[in-house]
Amino acid sequence: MLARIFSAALDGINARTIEVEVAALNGLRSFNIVGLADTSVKEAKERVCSAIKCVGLKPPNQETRRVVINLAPADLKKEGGHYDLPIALGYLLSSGQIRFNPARKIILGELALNGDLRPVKGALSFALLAAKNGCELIILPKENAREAGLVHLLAGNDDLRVIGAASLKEAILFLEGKKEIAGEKTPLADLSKEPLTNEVDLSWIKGQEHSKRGIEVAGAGGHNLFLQGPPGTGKTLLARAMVSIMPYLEPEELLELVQIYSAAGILPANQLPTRRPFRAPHHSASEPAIIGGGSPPRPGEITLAHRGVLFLDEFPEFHRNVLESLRQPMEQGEITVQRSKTNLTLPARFMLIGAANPCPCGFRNDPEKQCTCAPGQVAAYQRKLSGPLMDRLDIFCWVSPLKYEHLAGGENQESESRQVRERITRARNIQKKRLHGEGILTNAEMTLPLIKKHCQLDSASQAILKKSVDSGWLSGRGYHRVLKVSRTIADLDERDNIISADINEALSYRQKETVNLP
Amino acid sequence: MINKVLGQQGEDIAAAYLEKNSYTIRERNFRYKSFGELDIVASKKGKVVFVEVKTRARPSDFCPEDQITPKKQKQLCKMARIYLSAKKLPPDTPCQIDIIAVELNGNGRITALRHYHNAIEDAG
Repeated sequence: MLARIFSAALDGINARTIEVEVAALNGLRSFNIVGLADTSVKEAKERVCSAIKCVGLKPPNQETRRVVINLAPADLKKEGGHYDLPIALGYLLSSGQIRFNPARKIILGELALNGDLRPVKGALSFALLAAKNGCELIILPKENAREAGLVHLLAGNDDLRVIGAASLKEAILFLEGKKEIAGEKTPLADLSKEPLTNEVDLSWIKGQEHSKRGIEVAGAGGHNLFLQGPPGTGKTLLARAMVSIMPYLEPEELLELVQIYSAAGILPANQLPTRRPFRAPHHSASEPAIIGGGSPPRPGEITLAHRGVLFLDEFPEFHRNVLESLRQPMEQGEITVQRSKTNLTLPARFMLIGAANPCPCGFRNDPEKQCTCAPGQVAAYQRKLSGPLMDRLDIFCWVSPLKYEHLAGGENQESESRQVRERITRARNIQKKRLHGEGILTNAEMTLPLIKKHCQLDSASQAILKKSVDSGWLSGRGYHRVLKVSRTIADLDERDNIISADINEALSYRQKETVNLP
Repeated sequence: MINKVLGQQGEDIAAAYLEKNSYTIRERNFRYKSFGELDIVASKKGKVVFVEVKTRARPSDFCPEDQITPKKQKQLCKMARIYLSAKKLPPDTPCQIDIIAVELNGNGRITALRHYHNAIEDAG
């Protein structure tokens, strides 16, 4: 007898339907899983047999049955434990031990030996697939129900019921109509009510007014930021404070993050992200770790930093190929990982913050200390920061050493981050309203036609820019980036027009020529 | 040929045990060309049961059933298929392979009899 149950596989952060066909024929007992299944899927046999025995039904290894399980389509590699539940239910159905109609249902879950269900990766993506296919219900482990219950916000209709089952037994009772489980529908919590923990407040950083303004502008428009300065001046602290001043996640942004983190398997059970991500990979990270890739392909750091901050401390110490490969995703807001067997597009709309010393010893251009680097060393260090990459960083801040009066200066109890966040939120709301209908949220995402449309300049501003471009100091891309930054500065001041002061401030954030070899 | 005598003795004990447990003995020492041998073919409740009997006469640290190696398991599966086709039974006849371990002491008295149901999985 043949049973067919629908399940799903994860392909990047999107899901694909997998048909689990179970044939249980009489004969010498055997149990085979076919359909390009990897070891984690093949091992389902032991979990399924034990779980079925524990719910009091007859497992395949105690019967005279030849069981063949086919996972279709046959050419897609299957991995993970979430086929356990469909295989178990498929076997029970085909051996006539239970009875239900498997049509228009998607079933997923990893079984424990005692029949309990363990959480799976990518629950929201699976639920989304079920909604798209017009399924009536999706059954998954209880721990994933809250996350998958967000699907009604994405799908735009309430046709799909999300059922969280605690065990194989509960799933069987539900499918046979002997037990009712309420469909899960997760509302979106108001994130601004969530308490902030372990966050660096801007008021912790004394002095550095120029850099603080720099990160405020960067945060307001979603621009990329580069912090340069001698060791110990607060570059890392400034970068970490960025998360505390960025506005709360928009509902659509939250849903994107849930999908990414769930597919990557790092979303804690029954919890949803509340803050923007802050990813700070170590400089020894490899290209697939940052960009995404591997086998099976996994999202990289740039995807995990989606809608948040990717902080590369000791920027020039990163491998050259890692830094250069950031160029395309920074421009496009997504990354396509192409390998011989996969072709995967992942979202990667992150804000890049780079931090670096001016030279290997760290004290070049320092008024007090002597730089001990050889000129060749400095040149090699700065060559890492290639022109095309630096051109994509909109805001440069020099973080200078502090004087004693700044460090010991008056205690500021009030949260400076909160005030800045309010200003940034206002500026972002202006952007959102202006860019409504273009499908983007921030100035940094504007394309060329949009820059032309929204960044009208007066003649004084045009004259300033003409000088910069004609002298060769500002590239074509740099010109457009200055326009975007000045648009953000005007938005922070809640002004409709860009004035020459905005242009001047934006130009002041462009990279200064720091290589001046003797 | 003391081993052959001992094996026969164990198989007789196993057959008697099976009959006592309402199995029908269909065949003893089924052979097909030189592919191998099935010690006992029995049936119960419409199921064909192939039984491999292992016997040991002296006390030892090893159990007789330890002698069922993967190679032996493969051979038993093959013999089961051969039996079905030789007797013109359909290939989807419900069937299983059992193992009976018989331990005897020096006087030829049974000290243990262990019956493993559906012990071997057909690896394909």
